[in-house]
Amino acid sequence: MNPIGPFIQKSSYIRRLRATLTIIAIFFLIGIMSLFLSSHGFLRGLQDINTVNETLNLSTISIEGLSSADALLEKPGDKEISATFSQTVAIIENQINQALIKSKDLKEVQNSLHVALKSLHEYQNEAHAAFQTGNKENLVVAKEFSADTREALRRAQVKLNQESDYIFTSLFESRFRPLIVVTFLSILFFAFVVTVGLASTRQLSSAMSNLKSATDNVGKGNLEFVAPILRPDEFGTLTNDFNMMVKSLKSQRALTHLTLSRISTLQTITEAFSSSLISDDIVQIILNTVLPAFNADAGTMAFYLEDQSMFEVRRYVGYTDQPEKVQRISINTTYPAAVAIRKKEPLFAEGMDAIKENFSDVTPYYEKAGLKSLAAIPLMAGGEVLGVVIMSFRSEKVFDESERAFMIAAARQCSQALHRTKLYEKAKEAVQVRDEFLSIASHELRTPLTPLKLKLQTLARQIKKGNIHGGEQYLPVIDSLERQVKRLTDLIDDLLDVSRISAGKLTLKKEAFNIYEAMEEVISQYNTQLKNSHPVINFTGDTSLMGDFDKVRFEQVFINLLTNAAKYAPGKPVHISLDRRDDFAEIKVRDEGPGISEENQKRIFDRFERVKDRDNIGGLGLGLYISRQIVEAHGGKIYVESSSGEGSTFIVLMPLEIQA
Amino acid sequence: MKKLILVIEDDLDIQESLVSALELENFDVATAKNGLEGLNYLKSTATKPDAILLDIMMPVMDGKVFRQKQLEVENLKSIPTIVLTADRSFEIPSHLGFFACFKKPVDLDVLLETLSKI
Repeated sequence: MNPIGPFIQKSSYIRRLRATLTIIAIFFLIGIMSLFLSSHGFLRGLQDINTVNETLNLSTISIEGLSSADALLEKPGDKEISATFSQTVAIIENQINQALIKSKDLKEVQNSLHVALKSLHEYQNEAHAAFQTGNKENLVVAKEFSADTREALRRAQVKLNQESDYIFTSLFESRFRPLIVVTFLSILFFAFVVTVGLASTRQLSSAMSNLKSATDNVGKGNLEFVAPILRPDEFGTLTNDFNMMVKSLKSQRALTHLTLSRISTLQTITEAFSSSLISDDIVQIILNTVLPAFNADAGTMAFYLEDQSMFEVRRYVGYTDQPEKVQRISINTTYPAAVAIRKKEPLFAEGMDAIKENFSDVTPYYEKAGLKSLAAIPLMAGGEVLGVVIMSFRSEKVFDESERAFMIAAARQCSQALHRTKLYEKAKEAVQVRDEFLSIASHELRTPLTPLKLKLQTLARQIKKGNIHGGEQYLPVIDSLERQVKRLTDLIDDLLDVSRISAGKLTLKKEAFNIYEAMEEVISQYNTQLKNSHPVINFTGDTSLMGDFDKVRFEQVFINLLTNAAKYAPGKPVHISLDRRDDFAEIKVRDEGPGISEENQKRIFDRFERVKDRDNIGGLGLGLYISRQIVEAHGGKIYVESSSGEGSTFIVLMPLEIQA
Repeated sequence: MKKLILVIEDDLDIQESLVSALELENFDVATAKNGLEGLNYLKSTATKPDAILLDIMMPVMDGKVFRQKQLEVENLKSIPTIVLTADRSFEIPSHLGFFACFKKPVDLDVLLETLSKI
C-alpha cells in the first residue's frame, strides 16, 4: 500500500500515447518510402531495358550502315560515291558514339563498341586509301576492318541481349517486392498497434477500474480505503490526489466526530451532574466521566478551603500513590492545584520540563507514575475558585486550542454542579436547622399545655364526682379554660403545619383505610370532646369506600371542616355525606349558618384569611389553607358552595385511584 | 383491686399531673424519669404494672428503645403500653405494637376511657 503523501510522477501516459502516435507516423513514412524505393528500382529496370534496346537498335543500324558502306566500296573511283561513303561512315560513327553514351554503365558493351569504333576508323582510312589509289589491297584490308567492326558490334549486341535478359529476369523476379514490403510493413504495423494498443488499453482500463473501485468504496463511506497507485503516471497522480482528498475528508469527518463526541460528552457530564446534589457525587462524576472523556491517565479533584488557605485533595485516580485519607495542602506550594487556585486560570504543562519548571512539588510523583503532561483547570463560580480538576497524561500531550476550550467548557459544567451542591448543602443545612427548631418548638410549646389540661380536667372530674364541695359553680370557668387550652394547641399545630407546607415539607404517609369508619370515629371523638355544646351531626354515606391517604392529615381536614361548621353555625345541625363521584370520594359538610358571600368564597382558602365581618370568632385563618394544601397534595380538590343566608357546603374530592 | 400504672415521663410537671389525675381516679401509680429507669423498675418489681404510659422524647433512653427492650423480655412484653408524645409527626411503628398513641396535650377523658379497656 502506498503511503499517502506527496507524489512524484515518474512517467506519463500522455507522453506514451504521443510517442505511440509518432511511431505510427514514422511507420507511415517508412512504408511510403519503401514503396517508393521498391517502385523506383522497377522503373529503373524498365528504363535500363529501354536504353539497352535503343543501344541494340543503334548497333543494328550501324551494322546495316556497314553493309551499305561495303556495297559502296564495290564501286570505287567515283567522287560522289566516296562522299556518300564518308557520310555513311560518319552516320555509323555517330550511331556508335550514341550507343557508347547510352551504354556508359555496361563496361563490356563499351569495350566492344570502342573496338568497333577503332575498327571503323581503320576501315575508313583503308577505304579512303582504296578510293584514292584504287588499290585492291587496301580494299581487302578495308573489308577486313569492316568485318572486325561488325564483329565487335555483334559482340556488343550479344552483351546487350544478355544485359536485357538479365534486367528483365531481375525485374520479373522482383515484381512482388513492393507487395512484400507493404505486406511486411502492414504486419509490423498491425503487431505494433495491437501490442501497444492492448497494453495502453489495459493500463487505461486497470487505472479506471482502480479509480472506480476507490470511488465505490469511498462512496459507500469506507474512508479507510486507500487506492493503490498502479503506475507513476497521470493516473497515479489522479489516484494519489483522490487518496489525498479522501484523507482530508477523513480528517474532516474525524473532526466532526470529535466535535459531536465532545458535545455528547458535555451532555453526558451535564446529565450526570443534573441529578447530583452531593459534592462527593460530583467528585465521583468528575473522576468517572470527565477524566475518561479526555483520555486522562490519572486525575485529582481538589477543593479549595478559602478560610484556611489550603486545598483539600478528596480523590485521586491513576497515580501510583493512593491517599489513605483526605489530604490538606497549603496553596502556597507549587502543586498544580495550588498554582491554579492562586492564578485563577487553567494551566497546562505539555512535558516534563514544563512540569519541573512550574509545578516542582509534584514532579517526584509524576516521575514515579510515568506521567509527562498535565492540565489543571480551576472550577470557578462567580469569580471564586471552588476547586481544581487536574488531569494527567502519560504522553507529552499537546493541548491544542480546541482541546483547551473543551476542557474549560467541561470544567464550567463541573463548576456549576459544584456550585449547585454547595448551595444545596447550605440550603439543606438551613432546612435541617429549621426543621429541628420546629420539632423542638412543637415539643416545647405542647409540653406545658399537657399538665395544664390534665389539671383542669382532673379538677372538672372531681367537681362532677362531688368530691369538691361547692365546686359546681366553677365548672363553666374550667370549661372555658379548657377551650382556651384547645385553641392554643390548635394554633401551635396550625403554625407548625403552615411552616411545613411553605417549606414543601408536607410529606404524606399514605395508608389504605375505610373512609366511612375513619369519619365516624372522628365524629364520635368530636362529640366526646365538645360534650354539652356539640351540635347534631347527621352522617350518611357509602360505607365501602376505601381511601389511600395520609389518614392523620385526612382526619385533620375533616376535623377542620367540622370545627368550622360548629364555629360559624353554633347550635345548628351539621349534615355530612360521603359518596363516590367518578374516581373520587366526595365528602360534603353542610352547615345551616349565615353562608359565605361569593367574594369571601375565593379568599377563605388562602393563608391568614377568614370570613370578614364576623366578630368574636378566633383563629389565625389557617385551617382552610392547611386543608387545601393537604387535599391538593393528595391530588384532590376542596371548594365551597354557598350563598349568603342559606348556609355553606364544603366539598372535598379525594382521588380513589392511587396517584402515580 | 387497684390497677397499677407505670408512668415513664421525663417532664416532672406532666408526670406529677398524670400521677395525681390517675390516683384520684383510683389507680396505683409508679413513675420513672426515662426508659432505662422504667426498664430497671419493671425488672426489679414482682408486681408488674397493668399498663405503661410512655413518653417518647426522653434523655438516657427514649420511648422507642424502651419499647424494644421491653419486647425482648418475655414477662414484660405483654404489658399494654400507651404512647403519650408531644411530637405531632410521631408515627406509630407497627412492629412496636403499642396499645394506643395520644398526642400531648392528652384528653383525660379519652385516656381514662382507654385505660378502662385494659
